[in-house]
Amino acid sequence: MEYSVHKNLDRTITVKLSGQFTSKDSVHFRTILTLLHNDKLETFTLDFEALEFIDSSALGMLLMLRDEAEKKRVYLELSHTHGHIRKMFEVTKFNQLFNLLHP
Amino acid sequence: MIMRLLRQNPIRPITHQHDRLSSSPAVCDSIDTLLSCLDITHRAVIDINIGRSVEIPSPCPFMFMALSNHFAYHETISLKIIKSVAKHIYLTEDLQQKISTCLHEGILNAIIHGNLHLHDTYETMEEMERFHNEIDKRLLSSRYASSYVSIEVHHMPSELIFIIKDQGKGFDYISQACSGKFTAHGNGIPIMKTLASDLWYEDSGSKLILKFSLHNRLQEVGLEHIKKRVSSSTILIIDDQEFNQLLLGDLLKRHDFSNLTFASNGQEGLDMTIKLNPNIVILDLMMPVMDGFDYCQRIRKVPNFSHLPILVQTGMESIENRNKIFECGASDLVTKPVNPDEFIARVNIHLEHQLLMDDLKQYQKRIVKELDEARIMQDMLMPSPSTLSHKQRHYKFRVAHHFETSSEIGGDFWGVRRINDNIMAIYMCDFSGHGVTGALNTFRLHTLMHELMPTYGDNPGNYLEILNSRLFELINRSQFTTIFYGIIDTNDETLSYATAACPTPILWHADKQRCSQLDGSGFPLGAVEQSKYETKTTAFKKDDLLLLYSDSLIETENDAGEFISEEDLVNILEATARSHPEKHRVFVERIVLNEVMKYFHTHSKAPLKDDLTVNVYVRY
Repeated sequence: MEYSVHKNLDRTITVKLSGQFTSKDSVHFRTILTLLHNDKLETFTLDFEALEFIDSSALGMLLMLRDEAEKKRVYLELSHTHGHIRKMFEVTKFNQLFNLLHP
Repeated sequence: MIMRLLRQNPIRPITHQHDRLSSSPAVCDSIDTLLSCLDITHRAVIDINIGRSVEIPSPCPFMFMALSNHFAYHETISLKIIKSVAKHIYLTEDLQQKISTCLHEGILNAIIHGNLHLHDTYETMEEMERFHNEIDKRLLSSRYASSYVSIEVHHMPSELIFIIKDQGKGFDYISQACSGKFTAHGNGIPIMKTLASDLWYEDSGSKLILKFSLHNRLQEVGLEHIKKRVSSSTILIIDDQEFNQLLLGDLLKRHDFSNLTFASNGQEGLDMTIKLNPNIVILDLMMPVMDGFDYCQRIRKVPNFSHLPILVQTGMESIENRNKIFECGASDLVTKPVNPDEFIARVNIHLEHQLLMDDLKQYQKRIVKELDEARIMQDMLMPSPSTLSHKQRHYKFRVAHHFETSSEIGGDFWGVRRINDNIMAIYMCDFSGHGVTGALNTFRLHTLMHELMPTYGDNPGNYLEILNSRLFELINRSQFTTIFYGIIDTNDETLSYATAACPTPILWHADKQRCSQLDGSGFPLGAVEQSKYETKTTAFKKDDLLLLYSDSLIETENDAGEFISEEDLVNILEATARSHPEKHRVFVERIVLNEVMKYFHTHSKAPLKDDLTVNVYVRY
């Protein structure tokens, strides 16, 4: 998986993911998670538009991100959950756990 | 066919060759795709076998792969597997996505929990990272390097089965995954359960079986279509009570039926039925002018209305009357007062049946017509009487021929063709499979043969080699053809021929007054790349007879389970040829053919299982 970080005045962060998000991305994801350690942060968006594939481990990581965001009182949203990724969210009912933008 | 092939060309069993990419000729196309994506240093072991499964009773093509942990851990492998499977089996995009997701999860479980013996769980990011670091460490360690994950793909008529096996000691997946809640780990099985039609683990968890139904999308669309047509059906309600008409009309309208017509007695109903041709009739029994019994009896006698669904509503309880109304021709009945749900359900069912039957009849009609046309086209692959008689005069031979297919169209064909003024080619082919598959392939082969014959046709061995390599590129690995290809040289009075797994040709030598059996062996065409075929030459003089036939002649059992043998055919040929001295031998080839067919028919009375072609050539 590849990702790029877009910040806006430290208040909002958008992370755009691309490629395949699988169990092998735990190190990457740890780095993404550290972006939450920012007191001014209000909104954190994960953008799936360029992502092709997501697996069960990756979904597990998203749950951790959700817990972490709740702890830090950061509003977490996932945008562009399309195609296969959308299906995975539906199958796991994750669409009810997350705020989805442009689904 | 298979029996014969094994006898002539024993096939070496394909064994797993680790650390080496298999180059077995039986490896099918799909593996080419996989191989092109492989980095050999990843120690991928791949084997694709075309054979029959021992574990699953019904015959199905099956593909087997063994992937090293390192390679299988690659996230795109599941996608590549499904893409190569999809080259052979039609799978919708949606199904491909589902399968590749399941394969990904299944393979990951097999590697992590199976081969790498990692059974830890994790809740926090730190724990997860430790877990994944451990995976990476074990993937590189020599202790786990030799284990692999094997994937089998079985194609069944209505489902696709994947079996993922690891070499671990097993893992209790079920207790890991039955919490019903999604957590940081262990989501794989719930996801697979939702996506696959069925899944279970065997061998204490080291073997995962995933099943996917192969629904035909067109069929589903067809049923959707039927539903729409059900609600636009014409319904005729025959009832003398206006109140009942209103009641039923209202009920049907509420269930989206809009095409309603009413009649108030049997006579009016009869006229309107013939005029409107409704899809279903709702009939009351007790009516003035003409009652329901009379209506039923009369309408059933009108052509085209013998299968019209008639749903009778009756208040009568007596069994006699119920029986009587069925005897008169009613399709079904509901009792008054009408239960709305039951009534609508019955109307729907009868309409659906009717529409499906109509569709089926039309479909069958179309297929029969198309197959008829296909058979006419296929007949044209064989020589026409006029070309045949012209060639017979020119090259001084005669041929008696018999051809019958086991289904509407077949996989056999034969022919003769000019090479030059002195040399004529004769051939007989039998494509694997009969019916549509076989027939389509015969057209390909016929085109190919005629394209190559002018250039290569004078050298049978060489000709078959070129034909084989061209065919190998064109057709699926599971398809192939047997062939006898010979050239008759009228100057030298010889027959030069090459064969590919064809049944033993039998030659009667008039001068020696006895038969010899020619060698029909050789790899079937299209099955093995770069097969070699030898040209053999034998004398073929005046009054010599050559018997060629497709394998169903000798592979059709009689009631006692016996086959006709080559020796039986030799005996028939010798006896017939000897009993017809030369001056009476006007149509000896026809007499031989008749004797062979007579023997075949007395031997086997069962319907043909495969196409049957028999040719008897005689030189004069």
